[in-house]
Amino acid sequence: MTGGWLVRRVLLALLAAFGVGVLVFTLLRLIPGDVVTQLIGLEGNVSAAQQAEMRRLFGLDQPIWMQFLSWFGALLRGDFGVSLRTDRPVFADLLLRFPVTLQLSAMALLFALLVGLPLGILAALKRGKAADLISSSFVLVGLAAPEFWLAILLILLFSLNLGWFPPNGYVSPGESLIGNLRSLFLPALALSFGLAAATTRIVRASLLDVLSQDYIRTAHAKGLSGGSVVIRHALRNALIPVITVIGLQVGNLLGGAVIIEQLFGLPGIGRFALEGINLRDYPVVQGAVLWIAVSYVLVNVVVDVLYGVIDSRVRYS
Amino acid sequence: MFKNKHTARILGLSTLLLLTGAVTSAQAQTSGGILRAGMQADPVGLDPHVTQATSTRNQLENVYDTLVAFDPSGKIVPSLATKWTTSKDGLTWTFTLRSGVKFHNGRAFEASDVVYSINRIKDPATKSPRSGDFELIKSVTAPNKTTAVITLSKPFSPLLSKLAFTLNVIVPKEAAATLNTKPVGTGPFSFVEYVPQTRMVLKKNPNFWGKDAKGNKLPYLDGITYSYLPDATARVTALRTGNVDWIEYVPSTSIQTLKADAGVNVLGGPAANYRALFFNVAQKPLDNPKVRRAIAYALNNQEIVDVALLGVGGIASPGTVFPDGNYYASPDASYGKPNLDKARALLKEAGYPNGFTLDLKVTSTYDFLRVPAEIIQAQLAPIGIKVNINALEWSVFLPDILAKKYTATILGESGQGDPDDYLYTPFASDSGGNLTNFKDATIDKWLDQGRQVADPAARKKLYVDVQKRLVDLSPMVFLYSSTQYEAARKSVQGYSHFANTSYIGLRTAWLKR
Repeated sequence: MTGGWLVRRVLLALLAAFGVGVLVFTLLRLIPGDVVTQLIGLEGNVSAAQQAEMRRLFGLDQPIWMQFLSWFGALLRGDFGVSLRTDRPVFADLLLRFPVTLQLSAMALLFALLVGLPLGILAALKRGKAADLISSSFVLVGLAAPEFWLAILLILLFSLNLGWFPPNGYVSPGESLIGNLRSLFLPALALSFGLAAATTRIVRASLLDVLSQDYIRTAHAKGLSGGSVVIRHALRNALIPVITVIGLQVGNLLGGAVIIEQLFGLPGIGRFALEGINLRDYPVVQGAVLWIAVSYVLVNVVVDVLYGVIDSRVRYS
Repeated sequence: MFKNKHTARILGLSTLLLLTGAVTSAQAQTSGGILRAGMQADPVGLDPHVTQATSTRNQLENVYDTLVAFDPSGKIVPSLATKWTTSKDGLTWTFTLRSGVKFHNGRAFEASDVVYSINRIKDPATKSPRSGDFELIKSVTAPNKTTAVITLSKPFSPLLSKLAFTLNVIVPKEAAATLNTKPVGTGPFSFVEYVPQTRMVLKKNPNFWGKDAKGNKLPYLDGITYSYLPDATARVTALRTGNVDWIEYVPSTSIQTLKADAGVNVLGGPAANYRALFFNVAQKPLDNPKVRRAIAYALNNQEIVDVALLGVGGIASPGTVFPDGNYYASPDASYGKPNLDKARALLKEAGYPNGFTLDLKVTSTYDFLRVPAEIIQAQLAPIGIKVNINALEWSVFLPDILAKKYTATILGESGQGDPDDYLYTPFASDSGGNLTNFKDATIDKWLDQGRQVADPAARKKLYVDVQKRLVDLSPMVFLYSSTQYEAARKSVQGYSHFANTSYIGLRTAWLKR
């Protein structure tokens, strides 16, 4: 793997982010309403002249290309702008929220792998047996059940009836590490179902594929133990598609799980973007979407790098 | 099984509470505790002067004070101003200010702060969505430290209710630039921190000027911690599990569950909002008052409340914008009870014996505004009116309505206290809040008179006439007035519900240990 490849990938990533930036900037302004209509609502007592003055002060009277240039110019200097409704710097708010989304994603991924990997391997090895059947039922339910519904069931069981976990609210690790893990446990669990199901399915399919290869038969013929064949030879090769799928899912997770964040009252990226959209807070939405796009692209770069680590046949130049 | 376990747990908990209560009751505890409040939404910015958001108002109204205030029944009572007088011509209002009041930054409150705050709201550079509240104020002056004088360009009796609105608060000039990150007021609680979408922390202001009826210092609570739980079910669950002590906006669907929960009190009732079927009276055939009145005769308000709001989310409207029990209300017991013969007769007179097609644009964001549309569709079918429902997401819907790009819609509006709030904004022909294109010279005249008369009985007479004429002309069909419920753990004491979506009642709340 050479540095040149990495530089090219990162440049492409930046180009993609720029495209997303242009797109979100334009689309936002196509939605009816702006921050002034949303701030005033129905009951605000503001004359048309004052509304025009408010628009001028927010800079919304400028031509769109001027607005874009000033936003993009500031962005190049590392300035994401300031929220129109709270006056808080968008970048600072993103930094405040990203750790929540990151930790939630990491925990969901961990839960998903803890369930999905062994279950997928088991299903492949016991193909057609009871274990396979149980595993495919789990996959079916996991993929089909909406996560908000699972979340509500989890809250009812673990919070209301058993009282083991708080039903909602977020505790930062700085305040209490235990409290932090408890506050994210249920949302991560709810998020992990779909991911675990997808992982199980892809691990099973991929492993079955590899297990039917000639070199596996050869390995068995050499007299290697069953476990060694599966772990050392089969699994490693079977992991490439698994990583691709998980990579895409993690990219999605980092964009913030809007519904789960709403339901559990977590201050993540998704909820931040949603509130921005509802109030037509342009700098917030633009900043959040850009951030999400960049994390998605970066995760994909990392996945590409991982291919090389896992499979020594993969080389980039 | 779970249900029983849960009940057992609650029983255990309340026994525990009873026991601890018995220990401390020798010295009746009437103060203390940090209230954990579960809120629906984050504040939309922390500067009360630049937002219209109820969330900002509710979370900061105990940090700030207004010049005058509403009591729970909606009456105007002293706050930062202890008394006030009006000149004969109604143009000069002189306020005597409370002395010895300090801002949370330690500086003494004085008349120049009143001048600054009102001018700040009026200044276009502040971008205040409520600059119109003080449109008629020509000048504010401070002849000395404890007197503020407001001069109007036209008599305006609703002035006090505008001054009592808890976003029109008094702020210290030196802190104005940072109010959006660090609120500073004179209220019973001072601001500690705000972590977006996580919490806001307020602590007791030991120097607060307010006292209860017995002369005890307010507030009783040591602090309030707001947390943000946008999902209604999640909010209710948080209360039932004891994760929070108090929640706002209890959904209609949860009221029965919560009333059955032994650990919880449901507080509330009528709120200051009314919901109505709005007509764009500039469009045919709705330009004809007979057509509009015919629709009113066809609707069954109680059915709408029972089906769309499960019987608890509202009170069927007796043909007025005012909530149940309001002094100015002129209820009509026969309103909202269907009389299809009259409806058909009016339609025939108007030239639509076979009805017509009505486009009804509603928002899909709020069930209490969308579900009534389906019931209205069914209720209008017998008189030949075919209703086409178009449901849009709120932030798409709102700009259309503000631009009057609709034929009929279902909306809610609210007044804050003064009858003028309820009637002038939606029905005066020159009002920015007139969304129906309704224009009636007689009503304009009465509304204008209502602003110039100060005597409540004389005002009531005018406003009763306005309400009767509004039913005749029906620019809207009044459907129901809303209800609003808060819910609290049984440990929360002394909280009183305000009908105008205000949590001033937290000033007298405390937690039983």
